[in-house]
Amino acid sequence: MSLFSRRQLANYVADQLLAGRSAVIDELAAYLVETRRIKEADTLVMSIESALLMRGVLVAEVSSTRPLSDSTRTLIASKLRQAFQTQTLHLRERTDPSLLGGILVRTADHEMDGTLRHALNQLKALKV
Amino acid sequence: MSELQVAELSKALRSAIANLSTDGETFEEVGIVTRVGDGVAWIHGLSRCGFNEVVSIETHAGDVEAFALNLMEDEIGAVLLGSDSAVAAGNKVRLGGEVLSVPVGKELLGRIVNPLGQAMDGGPPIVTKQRGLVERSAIGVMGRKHVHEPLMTGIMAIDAMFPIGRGQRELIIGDRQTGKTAIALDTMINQAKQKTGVVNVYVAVGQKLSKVARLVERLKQEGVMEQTIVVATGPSDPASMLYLAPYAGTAMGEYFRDNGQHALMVYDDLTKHAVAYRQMSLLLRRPPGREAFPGDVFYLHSRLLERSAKLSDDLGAGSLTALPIIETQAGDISAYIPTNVISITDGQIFMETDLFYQGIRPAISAGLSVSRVGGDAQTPAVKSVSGQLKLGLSQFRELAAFAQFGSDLDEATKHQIERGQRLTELLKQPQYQPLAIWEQAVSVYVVNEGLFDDVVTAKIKDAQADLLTRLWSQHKSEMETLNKGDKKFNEYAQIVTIVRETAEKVAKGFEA
Repeated sequence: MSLFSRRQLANYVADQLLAGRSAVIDELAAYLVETRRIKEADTLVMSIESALLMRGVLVAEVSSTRPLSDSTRTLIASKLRQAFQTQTLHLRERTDPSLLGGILVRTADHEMDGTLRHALNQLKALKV
Repeated sequence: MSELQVAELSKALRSAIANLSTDGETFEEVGIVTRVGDGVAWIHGLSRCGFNEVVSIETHAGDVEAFALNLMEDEIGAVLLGSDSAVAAGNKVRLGGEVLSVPVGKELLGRIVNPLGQAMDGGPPIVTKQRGLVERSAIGVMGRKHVHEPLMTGIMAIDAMFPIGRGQRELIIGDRQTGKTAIALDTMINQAKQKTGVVNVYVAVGQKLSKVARLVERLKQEGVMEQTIVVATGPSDPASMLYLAPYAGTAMGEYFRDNGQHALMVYDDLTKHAVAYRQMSLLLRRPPGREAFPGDVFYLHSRLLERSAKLSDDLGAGSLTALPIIETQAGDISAYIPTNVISITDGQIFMETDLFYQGIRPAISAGLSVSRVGGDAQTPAVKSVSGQLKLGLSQFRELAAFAQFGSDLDEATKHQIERGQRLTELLKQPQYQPLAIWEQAVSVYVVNEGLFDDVVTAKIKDAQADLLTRLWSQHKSEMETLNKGDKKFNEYAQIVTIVRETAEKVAKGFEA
């Protein structure tokens, strides 16, 4: 069996997902097990997300210390649509108290760190 | 559009950039470290990363910088510029947006720095107005001029037989412990002694730091350090630092070249540089070739040495001369790296172990050394006497085997052998004692003309010293004229008479 690169796999899976064939996930899982590439699962997911973004579908993860309010969610969604010029948007929400405050928005290749933890770390790096 | 409007436009744009409000946080491209080890980090993401671009890895112990050398379909191979102990899989990586650069300028003179331009001498941090690109393409054809000014090494064997010009690349090659660094060091010292104004850049690639410290101490003692920059890397530094050192040093030298000044680069040594690059390449999983070096090891050195040049008058007529050093194993100059660098440079000075142990120091092999472009640059006064020197020595080499037959030889052969022995003796020169142009011209002239034929061979050096002292004390102004060296030796009629008369007097004191 020939080895496909992550990019090739991601492009294929993204196309299939957009065509509505969700069985492709099972096929991919089988392929990864067969070729002993389970370790690559996480990076592959990132690659698929960035392949989806190229096809106009944005997957983003929003982390905050407490659940988002509806108004915040709408605001984030509109900002994301504007920044990435996409119409379709899938938001994944996560709460993480260790962020201390603010929000962290992460897509496959980009992130926007507006958390208190990040600000404090930057302050620490300045060694004041 | 008038000149004034353009100036304002640029100002307006700059202020617009400065005042641009970014509305808090923005999206930035990030990647993650998937694996790390042996000073190489493999990164997923960062699809916009460029070749040689600096990336910054966020670790628990602060940011670690790396530069991207392998851009592949699924991952990036980046070589770390610091320790890999803090870097772990999962660390976030950000693009730096620029390729490697180092501080350049006069502020670096007298300093010891690492390949990133950070002070290593315990002095204040280095702040310069300008930065220079570590990887920069060489000047093109139209920006260059032929090599025509001499770069005096102060070593008679080199200046007379294998002259080096400003902008030339002359390789110093030989086994370990044959005096390669000594030649480079003497050349640097001579730049200060003769007040040539040439700036020295000494690049130590993986040299023992004790050796670098000793060298710096000597440079300070000789008063050369004020016009010298030392780029130092030790054997314990990461291979990436050893790889960068020559390029970083060249960037520092180029500042002087581009500002109409003259600089001398010493790369000590390129064998270790190639070994460091081999280590990096193998760890980046590039296919090994001959002697396990990667396929582009020739390009590694050619792109470095091509940056040494004599610039055209339009570009300010500055120059960058290079003295790369290569260490051979058991005198084998046909190994991979030596042949590469020999073919890149404009000549080589070959040091021989046998000569070194025979007491002929500097142990320069007259047969295997050559300077391909230096002839045009040689000082006329030295050039006019060196023709006979080379001839005398090459005739001597052919006959040297017969020397042991002594009295069985005919007069002419005996004469040639004796002349050869005297010339060989004359070319011996102690370390840290570079000779001025007038000293070289007078010494070679006197032996060539047979004025010292009555002097015992073993006493040639004493006779030479005596002659030079007498000439300097009694005829200082004439010797200063000769030191300009812009005419053939015989054209200084008055000086020739003085030299001949003094030499005859001196010779009487050293007869057998």
